[in-house]
Amino acid sequence: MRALEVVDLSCRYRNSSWILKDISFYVRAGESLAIVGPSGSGKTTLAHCISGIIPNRIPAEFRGSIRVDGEDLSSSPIRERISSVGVVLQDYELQIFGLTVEEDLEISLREGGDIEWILEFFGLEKYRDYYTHELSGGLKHRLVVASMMLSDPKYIVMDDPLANLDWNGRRIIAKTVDLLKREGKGVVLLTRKLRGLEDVIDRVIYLGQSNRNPLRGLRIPRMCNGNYEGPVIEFNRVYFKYNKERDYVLKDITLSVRKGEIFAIMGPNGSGKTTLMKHINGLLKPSRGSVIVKGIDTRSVSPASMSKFVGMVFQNPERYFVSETVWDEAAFGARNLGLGEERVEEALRMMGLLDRKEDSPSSLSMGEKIRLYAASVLAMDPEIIVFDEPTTGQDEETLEQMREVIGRLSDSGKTIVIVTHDSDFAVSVADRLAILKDGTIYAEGDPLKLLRDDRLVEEAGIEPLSMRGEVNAS
Amino acid sequence: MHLKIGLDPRAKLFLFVVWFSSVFFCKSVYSLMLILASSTLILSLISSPASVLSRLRNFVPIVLLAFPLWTFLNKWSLFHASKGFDLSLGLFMTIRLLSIVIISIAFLISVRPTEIVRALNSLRVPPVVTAVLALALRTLYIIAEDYRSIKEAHASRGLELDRGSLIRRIRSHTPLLLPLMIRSIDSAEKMVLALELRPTLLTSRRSSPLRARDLLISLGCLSLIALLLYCDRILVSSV
Repeated sequence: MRALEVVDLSCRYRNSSWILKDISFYVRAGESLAIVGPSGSGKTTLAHCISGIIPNRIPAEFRGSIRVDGEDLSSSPIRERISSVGVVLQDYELQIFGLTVEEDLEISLREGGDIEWILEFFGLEKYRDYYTHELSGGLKHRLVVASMMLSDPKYIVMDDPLANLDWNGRRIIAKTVDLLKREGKGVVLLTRKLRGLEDVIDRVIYLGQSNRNPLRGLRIPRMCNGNYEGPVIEFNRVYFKYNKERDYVLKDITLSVRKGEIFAIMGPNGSGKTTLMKHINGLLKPSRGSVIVKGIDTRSVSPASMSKFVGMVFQNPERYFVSETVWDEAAFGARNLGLGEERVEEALRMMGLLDRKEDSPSSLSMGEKIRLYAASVLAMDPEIIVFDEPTTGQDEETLEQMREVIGRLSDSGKTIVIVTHDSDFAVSVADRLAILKDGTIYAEGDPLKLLRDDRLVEEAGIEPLSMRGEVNAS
Repeated sequence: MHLKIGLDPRAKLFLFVVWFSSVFFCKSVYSLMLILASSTLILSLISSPASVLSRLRNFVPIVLLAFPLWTFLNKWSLFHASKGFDLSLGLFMTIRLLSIVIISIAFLISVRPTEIVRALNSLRVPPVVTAVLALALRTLYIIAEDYRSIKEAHASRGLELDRGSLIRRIRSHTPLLLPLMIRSIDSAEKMVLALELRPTLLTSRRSSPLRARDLLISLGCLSLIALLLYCDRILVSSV
């Protein structure tokens, strides 16, 4: 059979229990298979087993076999496998080797090929001369998938390909899968969720999935009661560009966020969401216009000074941990500002981490790490808390924890700003929503009203509400 | 409006090596001035004046320091054993330094790092060597990106990094080191894996022959430099 076959695959790392146990599946040439599972279910381990990273580079106990078109590759080195099986890793950024988009694609180009069609197919034409480090996460992901497609393996395995992608990005992945199938390639997608790919996936396997009620833990959306105080964040005709040779990333942004509000910002990759967010605490200063936060013009103060008023919870918080214990990590910001540590205990209690205060931050789960970072921000007692894409790459359990954290912060009187791709999440937590497109405010208003407008959602290129989102919102 | 050089990267690499070496072969200040003038002309043709000036501004302190150092302190130099005050040596060495800077900037503006890697690849430099060079270039950007994001995250948690005395600033940067080191080691390990999964960088590509235009320009420049060095030799021997 012309297929990528995984037969009775079991794998475990040293001194750990089995991560994968007797997994068997196949994907035929011209077919697509989705393997769906939450964080920690073994998706990345499976991708490493197929690519040969396990056991060739990462030592692990490995049983079973991996066959490509009948040939057993279980004991083959990585270099022998890659002409048959291409893998897009979860840490996709490290698969970019070119310094510009064009160069990176050229590295994968075969003799006589051209990159024009792939630039167009993946919506990367206008970025062809950009340095790869200038791209947003979603655009980098598209680039890696595009490069993988150019290198033309028989089977392609993508580990969590939807994690950083906006709705357009997901549609591009769907189109890519469709194209690959038509070209006779077999595609395996290891993913947390399938939304946007339903039409192109032929079969689905669930990995380590518990029988969980899909509607468990969903919150009734907060209703905007209109009793907010005056604005605490004001953008006045803000323009911004990173350097003189590039276009404006933000164009004529005027918006205000009121005290006590939960304000969500959505938009496709590269629309300027993160750039806008970094203006709130002065990490970026407007090229034109002004940003006034609690009456302070952010151009006149440093981000460290602004941290008394604005706390930022970044994506992948574990990247920024500096301390050996949960307590010290939570106290990091408060100590920098010369505040007492009495708030640290309160913050850890609020985030449900007080009983783990002596533990190492690295021993926490992803949801707990986000809660720890939020606790360290909370200990600084800022009035405004900004979340940068808290939903990206998170499974449903972590999303529930995020909703819980945001709810608690809001109940304690904080103003919350959330940058997200996730429409269901935005509807379930936000009072007001702004949709960005090409650096301008495309729409602003009630989240449910905006996200139920199919035409607006389509034109803005954002994720439509799912059935669950609709149920939750109703 | 500036000139886009469509030369083959191998020709650019060759011309850079020739031009750069000639700076060290010249013994007369006049021929050195000619090299400086020609390289400045090339630089002004391939880049906008504002961008050239902003790049050159970084080297002003070094160039300003070079002149008095070579003029007054040359007797302690390891390379020149002349005695005491020597204005001509100060001038000569400053022009040499300026030429080196301008030629290097012109090269870096006109050749992208990956082109250098490709050029070396097609000149039969072992693929592993060029891949290491390519990875080193890419790693620099990754570390710089990590540094920026960690710095932003720490500043957002109240860490003042760019204020106060030098010692205070250095001390403030200490919390950046641990996450940066962990990230860098982690990234390096994963990059090695990623490299194995994308081996086109490690394989030698079939190189196309140089075009006639590239050959002609390279040979023309080589002849000019040879002529310049010949004149330089005559000038020096006649003094």
